[in-house]
This record gives sequence, C-alpha cells and structure tokens, in this order.
Amino acid sequence: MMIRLQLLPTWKHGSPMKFFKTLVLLLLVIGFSDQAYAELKIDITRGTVEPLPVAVTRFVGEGVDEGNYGKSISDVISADLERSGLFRPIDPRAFIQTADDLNNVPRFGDWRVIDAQALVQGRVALVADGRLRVEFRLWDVFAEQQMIGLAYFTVPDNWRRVAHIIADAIYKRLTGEDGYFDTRIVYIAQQSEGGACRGTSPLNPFGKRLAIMDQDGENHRYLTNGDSLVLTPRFSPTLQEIIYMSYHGNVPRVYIFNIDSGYQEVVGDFPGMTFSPRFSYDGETVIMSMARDGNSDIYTMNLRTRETRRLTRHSGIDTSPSFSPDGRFVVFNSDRGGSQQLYVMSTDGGTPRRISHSRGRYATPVWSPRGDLIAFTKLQGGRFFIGVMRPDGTGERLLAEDYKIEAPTWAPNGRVLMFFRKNKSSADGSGGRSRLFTIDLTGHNEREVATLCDASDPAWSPLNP
Amino acid sequence: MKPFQQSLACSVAFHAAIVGAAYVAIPHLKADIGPPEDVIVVEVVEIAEETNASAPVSKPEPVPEPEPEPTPPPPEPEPEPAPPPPEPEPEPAPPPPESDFEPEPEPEPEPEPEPEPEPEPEPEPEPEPEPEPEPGKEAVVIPAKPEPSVLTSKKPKQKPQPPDPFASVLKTLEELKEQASPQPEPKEDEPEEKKEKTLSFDEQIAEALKIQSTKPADSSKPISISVREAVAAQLRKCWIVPAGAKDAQNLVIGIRVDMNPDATVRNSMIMDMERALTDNFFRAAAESALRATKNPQCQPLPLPLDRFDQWRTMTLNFNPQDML
Repeated sequence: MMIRLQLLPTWKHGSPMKFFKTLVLLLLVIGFSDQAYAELKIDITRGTVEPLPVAVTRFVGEGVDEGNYGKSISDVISADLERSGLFRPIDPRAFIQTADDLNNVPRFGDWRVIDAQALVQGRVALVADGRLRVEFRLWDVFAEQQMIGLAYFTVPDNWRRVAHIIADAIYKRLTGEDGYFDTRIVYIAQQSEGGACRGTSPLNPFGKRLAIMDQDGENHRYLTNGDSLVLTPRFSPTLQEIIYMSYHGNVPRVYIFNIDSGYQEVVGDFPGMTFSPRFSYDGETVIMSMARDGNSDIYTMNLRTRETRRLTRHSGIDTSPSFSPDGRFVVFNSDRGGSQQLYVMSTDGGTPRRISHSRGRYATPVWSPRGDLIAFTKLQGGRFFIGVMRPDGTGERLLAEDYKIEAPTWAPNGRVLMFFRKNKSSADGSGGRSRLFTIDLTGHNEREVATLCDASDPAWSPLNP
Repeated sequence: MKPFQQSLACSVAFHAAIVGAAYVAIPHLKADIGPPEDVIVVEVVEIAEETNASAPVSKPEPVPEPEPEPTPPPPEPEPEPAPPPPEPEPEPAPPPPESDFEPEPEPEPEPEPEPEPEPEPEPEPEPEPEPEPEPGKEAVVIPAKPEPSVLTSKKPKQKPQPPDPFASVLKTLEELKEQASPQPEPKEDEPEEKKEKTLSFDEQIAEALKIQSTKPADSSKPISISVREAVAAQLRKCWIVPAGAKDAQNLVIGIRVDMNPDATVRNSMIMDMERALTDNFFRAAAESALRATKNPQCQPLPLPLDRFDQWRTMTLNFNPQDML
C-alpha cells in the first residue's frame, strides 16, 4: 500500500518579455488612472451555485497496460469529482485537443471554447521495478497556469486508490478544503428482499454483518461472519479500528475491532449493557452509554489507561454521545426535559445545556469534524429528517426527509453527510429496502451509494493513512 | 408650608423631567419596543440625475450571451418559478409541490409549521439516484451527459442552472420564513417594476441605457449606480461561489482589474496575495472570483465606453453575503 509522492515542476507559460510589458503597462495605467476620479469599486454579493466545469482527460501511457490504467484512473477521478456535486466533468467527446496531444502546455483556447475552467491531464508509466508511476497536472484554463502537479509511485493493483488520492488533491486545490475520496465506509449489511444476504445463524436471522467498502462502493468486503448481531459501528479517527455494539454471546456490549488484524475485544468491564459508542477525535477516548437498572448515563473510557468516568447523572435516559473535535464538549440526546432533545455539556462536567428547541424529537447527534455544525436525526409528525444545527442550537436546517432516515455520519472534511434510508414496505410486504445515501451541506446534492445487500448504520472513515 | 409645597412641586417637576427625558433618551425602557428588525444595509451612492452612460456601442448583447443558462439572472426580484403571485405576500402556503408527501394520514392536525409548507423554491425534492456514474472495474464510463450534474430533479424541464439559485444556497426543508422577507429586499426601491417580469434585470438595464443613449454622454459625471449594478449582475453569472464552505459568509475577496478600452478585462489579480499564499481556502475562493473576471462569457462588461478613464482600473469586491 506504499505510495510515494513527488512534486512536479511547474511548466511556465509566457515569456519574461511579456511579463515586462505587462508591468510597464500596469505602471502606466496606475500613473494615468490617478486622475480626478476615485477608483471605481463594485461589490458582487452573489454568485451562482453551479458545479465548476472541469475537463478530465484520459491519462496517457506508452503501452497497452499503461493506457488501460490511465483510462481507468481518469474515469475514477472524474466520477469522484462529479459525485461531490462541486464539479461538472465535461463529456470527453467535446474535447478539441486530444489527451495524446497534451504533451506540453495545453492549448488553453481549445479548452475555453468548450467552457472548461479547469483541466486535468495525466500520464501513467510502468517503471523498471514493476511499480506504477502516475502523474497529473491541474491547469487553470482562464489564468493559463498550472495549479498543481504531482506524481505517485505505487503497485499497479493500487491504481484505484491513487485515483482517489489525485481526486482529493484536485478537490483540495480547487476548494481549499480537504477532500474525502480516499476514504472508506463501514456499515451494517443485512438481508435484503431477495434474500441475497440472508443470515445463517439463529441468533442473527437477518444476517446483520459488519461490512466495509470504499467511499464509492468499490472494494466491498465483510468484516464479521454474521454469527452475532452487530450495531452502530463507528470508525476510529486515527487508527484502522472500528467500535461497535454486538450481541456476542447474547450480551450487548461495546467492542473494538481491528480491521487489519481482525482482532476484536470488548471495551471496558461495565456492570450494565453498554451501547452507542463513539471515539473522541484524537482516538484516545471512547464515549458511550451504559444502561443499568432502567437508567442510561454517559461514560467515557480512556483507551490507554482504561480509566472510566461517568459524565451524566440523571434519571433521564442519556444516549448517543458525540465529542466535539477539540474534545472539550459532548453532545448527546436525553429525555430529561420530557421529550428527547439534544444537550451539550463540558467534558469536565457541569450542567448540560439544551440546544434543540423546536418541535419534534432529536436523536443521534454527531459533531462535525470541522466543529461548526452538529448533525442529527429528527422525528416530527411521524416523519424522519436529517438536519444540522450550530453547536449553540441556532441555524437548524433540515437536509433530507423520509418515512425513515437515520444515523448521519460525517465525511472527514465536514462537508458531506451519509445516512441510511428505509423505504416503507408496501401492503404485500415487499419493498422496505434500506439503502445508503450521501448529501452535501448545501442540501442540493443527494446521491445513493449502491450496495449489494440492504445497508444501514454507515460510518465514514478518516482519510486513509 | 409654602416652602415645602414649593420644593415638593420642584421635586415633582424635576422627577417628571427626568422620567420624561429617560423615556425619550432611553428607548429600550419602553415596553412595546417590539422585536428587533433585521438591519437593512443601504449603500449610499451618488446617483446622477440621468444615467450618463454613453451610446450602446457594446450594449446590444448583454443578455443574448450564448451561455448554457438561459439567463434568468439571479438578482431577479422574484426568482420564484411561480408566476402567479401578484401580491408580495410571503405566504408559504401556495407552493403546490407539497401534498403527496404524507403517505399515512398523520393524526396531527397541522400545527407543524416546519416541514409542512415545503417552501422549497427549487423544483427538486429528491435528487434521485439517477445517472450514477458507478465506477465499474475497468469499464467505467463518464456520464455521457455532463449537464445534469448536481442538481438533478425529477422535473424533466429543469434548466441546466441550479434550481432557484439564490433563494437559498443552503437548502433547508424547513419553512424558510426568514427568506420571505429578505428576498424581496433588493427590490424594494422599485416596487412597480415587479410587475413586468418579462424583462430580466439585465434587459431592463440594457433598455434603460439604450433609451438614454441618444443624449451625448457627459464624461464629467461619475459612473452611475445602474452601471455598477449592471456590471455586478453580469459578473454574478460567472462567479461560482464556494457554497457549503465553512464561514463562507465572512469572505470578502478584493480583485483588482485592469480593463481594455473595449470593456474587456485585460488583467485581474487578487489584492490580498499575502493571505492567498497562506490560507488555502481563501486562495481557492479568491481564484473562483478571479475566474469570474476572466471568463470570456462575461465579457465585455457593460460599461460606458467613452468613460474609459473612470473604469480603466476597478476594484471588485466579491462577497457571498447575500446568498448564505
């Protein structure tokens, strides 16, 4: 999985003479413009919200193999960018300058004509030691400048990951924020209507199994064999570990699972049933609920020292805790005020403050990795909603609605949410499929993430290490 | 007794005066002050008696631009697709698309002010899984139709442009009560213009400029607000804002533009280069503004050509404040 990175030198465009002329002109302009009038100032306080038109050309290569890798890589990059909703890859059939012809500096006029504002070109080569060298350059078509150029070395089987990494680099350069394409999703796969994923164990008749796949649905595999029921998986923000609740041996407990080793261990030695676990953003602490004698409270456990701490003491049911990115606060839901609402409290203790105030019940709050929002599930009037609000409870916006949608999880850059949606079964018992969807923060770009079996409880990984 | 009465009268008068003064000077003591109103920022500009824009030399084509979007300019008064509403009534009720949502008869009457009205201005309740550029093993194919992009909707007749761009960049399913008021705001100063929806704002500007163009331009007058508004309106169409970004509302991007005499942009640059070099997000946003100024689809700018001196260089401040 080793990927080596190399910075490409910038291809300069234009000559020093041109620069000099521009400079002289500029100075002249400045000299002349200092006349009777103040400089004209114009405010543009609106724009459009469309995806940026981008041309992703086929990555070229010498041989047949290289050519195939190149085609596949540019296709994955294009699909990643398109799914984000922020970019609109232009149909390659509209390209005037061909990929093979793009050897040197692009003919920008050809790209402006087809309305491309950004241009991606790349090259694939198999080097002597059998590794794949993939390089790409991102061009600003209007400015006629290279924005970024990088090269990667990796084993050929790893081409898909390289494509995601390049898509992330493009995303980051054009938006200024980290991408999320080189990530994975764990979720609960279960029996679907056709019975394709039916379970075999009497303890787990619906075959709920932990599964993992790339963010775009590729490279799917199961992590558990379906012997026991698994619920609410969450990714560690720092390690290849997943925390979840399982009915192993018919006792509901929180477990940690190492993806690489397949090793699973129970978390802590709690007298009651533990559930709804989550990692802190530094990955060192786990926060969860423990139910005992009909009451649930919030507990934390430091994974290194194994020290546990009780955060809430209330007769109400406190569940679904989630840390803020800096670890100083916790959001959770509680029915202490009568109905189920969201509360924020300091991790040092103190009185929880209610942040949700409108009608309806709130559940499964998740603090955004960038800290500015809390996502939640809301139940109101018999309908489910996925929404976000600021940590002080203001600015609530509902992004998606359905008969049943639940369990939002954040992409690591805090701009996209994934959740699952369950259709209502029709009268004859058909339907009722449960599927995964993503929606971006604008609320305008919702996409399904296709899975073989029914899917629920998604959890987004951090960027792959 | 007299002195006492006198001083009493004095005291009463004095206290009354203080109370009176307090009532006037400290208005927040008044009980019925009502909810604070949204502040409406009004820019004070000089407005010439008549526009001093010159002949429509470059004028005829501010609109017919062969752009993909059919130029329903965002700034439009009522971007609402619904043409009927004759009164500015911000009633959330009318939107027809609601209804068929509620599959089961909710026992609840209708007190929910939130999800019900479904004020969604845009015609796309669910973007639908659709084209799904599913990257297959090797056989991946880039979606043949680049158009649909993000904002796919069930309605076949949707424009390639995002649905009702500016009512809300950030969609919310909730009732957008607040929106009802801020939206008409830009309009307020010319209420009767709402009626004629047939002309886009750009067209109106073009029209206005044409009418005036018979008069010789007076190059001594400053560039009027209508010209500036027309330039801003044109650039809006080419500025793809960083929607969904953190703290996007606090962005202000200054772009210095050097113009050619034919009102095309010769060169433009980010003014705060220092920040652009250290702040990735600012750099990306600033470059988006830069692309707007360099986009050939938005040139030439609708400026009076005989007043080149006045717009030889300009400062453009890009700030998505009205959208977020």
